Amino acid sequence: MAPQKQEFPESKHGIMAAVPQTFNPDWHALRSERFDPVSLWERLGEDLELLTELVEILMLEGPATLEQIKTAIEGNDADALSKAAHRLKGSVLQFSAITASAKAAELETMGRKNSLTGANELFQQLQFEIGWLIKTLKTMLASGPA
Amino acid sequence: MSTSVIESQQVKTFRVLLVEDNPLDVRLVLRLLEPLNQGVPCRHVTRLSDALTELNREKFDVVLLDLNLDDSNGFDTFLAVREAATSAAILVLSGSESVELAIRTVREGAQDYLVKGSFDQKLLLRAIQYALERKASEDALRKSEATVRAIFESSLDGILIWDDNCDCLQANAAAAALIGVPREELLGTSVCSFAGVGLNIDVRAEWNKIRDCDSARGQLWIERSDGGRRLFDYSFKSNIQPGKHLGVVRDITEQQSLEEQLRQSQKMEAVGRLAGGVAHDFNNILGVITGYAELMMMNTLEAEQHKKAEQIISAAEKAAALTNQLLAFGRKQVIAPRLINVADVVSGLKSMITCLMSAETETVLDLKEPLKMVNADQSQLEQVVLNLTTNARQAMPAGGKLTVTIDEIENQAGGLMPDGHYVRLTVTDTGIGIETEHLSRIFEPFFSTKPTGTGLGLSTVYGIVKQSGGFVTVDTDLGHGSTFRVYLPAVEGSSPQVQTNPAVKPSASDGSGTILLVDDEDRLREAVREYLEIRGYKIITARNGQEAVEVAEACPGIDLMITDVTMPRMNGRRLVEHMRKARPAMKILVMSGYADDEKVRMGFLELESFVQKPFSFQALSAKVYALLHPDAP
Repeated sequence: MAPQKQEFPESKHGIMAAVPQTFNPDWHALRSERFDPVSLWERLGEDLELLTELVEILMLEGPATLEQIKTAIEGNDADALSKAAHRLKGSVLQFSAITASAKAAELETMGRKNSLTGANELFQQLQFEIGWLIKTLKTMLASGPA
Repeated sequence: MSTSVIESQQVKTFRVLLVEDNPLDVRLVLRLLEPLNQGVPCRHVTRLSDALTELNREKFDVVLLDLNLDDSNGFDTFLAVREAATSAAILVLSGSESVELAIRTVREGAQDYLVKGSFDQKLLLRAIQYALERKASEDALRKSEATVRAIFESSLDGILIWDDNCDCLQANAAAAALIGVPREELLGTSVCSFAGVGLNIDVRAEWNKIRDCDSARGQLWIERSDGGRRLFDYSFKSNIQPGKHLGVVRDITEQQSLEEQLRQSQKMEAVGRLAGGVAHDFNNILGVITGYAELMMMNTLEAEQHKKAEQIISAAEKAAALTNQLLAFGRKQVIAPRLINVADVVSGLKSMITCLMSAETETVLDLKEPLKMVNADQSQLEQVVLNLTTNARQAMPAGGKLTVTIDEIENQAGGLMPDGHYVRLTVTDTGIGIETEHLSRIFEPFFSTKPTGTGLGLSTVYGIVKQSGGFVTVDTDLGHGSTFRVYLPAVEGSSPQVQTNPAVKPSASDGSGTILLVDDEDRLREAVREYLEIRGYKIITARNGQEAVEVAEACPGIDLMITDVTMPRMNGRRLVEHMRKARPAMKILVMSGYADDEKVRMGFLELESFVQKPFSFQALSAKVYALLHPDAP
C-alpha cells in the first residue's frame, strides 16, 4: 500500500501563523558569542508575541530551575543536578543563548558522571549567564521590532 | 484532541501527542504547531505515565517526545512510548546533542531526532510530514512483508531462496516436507546434495547455468532423505535480491505417473480402434471365403473337392479366431456379460492351469470367496486367466512359483481408476521379469519379446478387462518376477443384466419366404444371397439403408430383413428404427462384427435377432429358418 501523501502548510504562511514583524537593526548590537538574536528571531518566526511569552516563562522557570541546581549541588545530588541542568539547557537553547546552554550542559555532564568538583563555580557562571540573558531579552522586547 | 491541515480544500486530521515537561518548550512547540491545528491545541502531557495512559486510550498519528521527564529518562522513555504507540510516528525533541542517542533512537524506530534550539516552525512541520510519510511507508512495507510471509509459510509449493553458491538461505515448511528433511537441516545445505540423482548430470554446472539466466523453468529429480525419488517441477528467478535466487518447486511425481498412464491408455485406445477396424474388415472377407466354400460344398459331389472346401472353411475359422482376439483387444467382441463369481471361474480352470505349468513350477491358488460378483463374460474372463497364467509360465522357463489370488479392495486413491469396490485377480510369477523399456508396450497387440509369440495374449487381456469396465496393472522386478493385477468393478445384487446367448442349433431345413438382404459388402451380400436362394428363400438385396427403404416400399411382401449395421448413407440402426415403425410385422436379423453399445441398445443380442460376423452360412440359415418358421419343431 502506497503511503498517503500529506501536505503541510509552510510554516508562517499557514492560516494561523502570526503576522511577521521586522527585525530591529538595534538588536544587532546584542549579537555576541553568548547570544544570537538573529537566529532567535528567525526561529520564532519573527513573532514578537511568542518571544514575549517565552521570555515571561524563562523569567519564571529560569530562577526556579537555578534554585534546583543549587540545591542539588549543595546536597551532592548528581542525578537531580543532571536533570535540572538538562532542563535549563533545553530552555536557554531555545533562546540561542550559546554560553548559557554550554554552562548548563557542563553541569549536566557533571551530574551524569557524578563528578561535582567545580560545580559551584560553574553554577555561579551559569547564574550570571541566565541573569544576563534575561536582561538582554528584556532589552529586545523593550525596543521592539522595527 | 485533533489537529488538522488544509490540503486541496479538504481538512485532514492528525492526532498529535506532545510529551514535554518544560513549560517553555511546551509553549514554543504548541505555537509552532498552530498552522496545523486551526486553533485546536494538540494533546500535551508532562509525564511518561500520563503519556502511556493517553496512548492506551487514544490512537495518535504523531508523538513529539522529550526523553527526559520527571518519571523517566533517556532511551528508556523512548522504548516505553514505542511499545505503546505502535501506530504513531515518534519524533524525539531533545535537549541533548548526543549523536549516539540520536542514532540509537532512530535505529530503534524513531522517525526523527530534533535538538531543541535547532528547529524553527518550518523545519518542525516538515519533519512531522516526512515522519508521517515514512511511518506510512514502513507500515505498508510491514503489511506487505506479513502478506509475503504468510504466503511463504502457507504455500503448498516448496519455496526456497539460495545464494550464489547454491546454498539454501530460506525454505518454507512445504519445501522441507517435499524434500524430506527438517527445515533447520535444509538451511545452509546445497541443492546439489539432493537434486539430479541418478541422472548422471553435473548438478553444479546445471546450477551455474540456471543461475546466470534471468528465469528458468524445468523439472528435476530429488532424492529424499528416506531414499524416495520425486520428480519436481521448478520455476527459478535469479537475483530477486543481489546474490539471492528464488526457486519454487512442486512435486509432480503422481501427476507425471497419471499423465503417463493416460497417454498409455489413449495409445491403447487408438491401437484398439485400429485393430477392431481391421478385424471387422477382415471378418467380412472371411465371411465371403467361408460362404463360397460352403456353396462349393453344397454344389459339388466330388469327394476331393468337398475335402478341399472343408480345408478352406477350417483355415477361415482359424483366421476368424485370430480376428476374434483382435476384436477382444479392441473391445469390439460380442459378449454376453452376466453376474459371475470370479473365484468360481478360476476354480473351474484349476486343472487347466496346473497342466499349463511345468513340473518345476509350484502353483498356489489363493481364492478367497469374494463377497461381491462382477458383471463380465465368463468365457472372456476364462481367457484372461489363461492368458495371464500362460504368460507367467513362459516367464518361468526353469520353473518357479505361480500364485493366483482373488480378493476385494476398496479404491479410494483416485487416479485413473475410479474410487469404488473392486474384485482383484492377481497373478504373480517368480520369473524373469519385464525390461523397463518393454513395460509401456506389453499390452500393445503384436508386441512380443518371444520369438514365437503372437503378441496378442496380454493385448487380449487388456481389451477384455477394459470391455468389462476394469483395469489392469503390472509390477515387475527384473530377474525376480512380475505381478499382474486385474481390477473388476464389484456389483451388488445377483441378477444378470444380459442373459447368456444359448448356442444356436443349426438347421439345414429348407425354408420359404421373402428376405430383404442389406449389406454394403458386395461379395458377402452376393454369397449370402446365393446360399439362401439355394435354401429356398426369395432374396431381394440392397446396398445400404436408404436403398433398403426404397426397395421395401416397392415390395410389400417382405417377411424378414437381414441387415448389416455399419453402412453408408443410412446405417443399420436408423434402418431398423424405420422398419420397426413402417413394417412392424416384418422380422429383423442384424449381422455385425461389432458388439459396441449401439448394438446392445438396439436390442439385437437376443437369441434369434443377431448373428456375429464371421458366421457360417449354415448357422445363418438356421437363424433365418427359426425366425420365419417359429412354430417349426
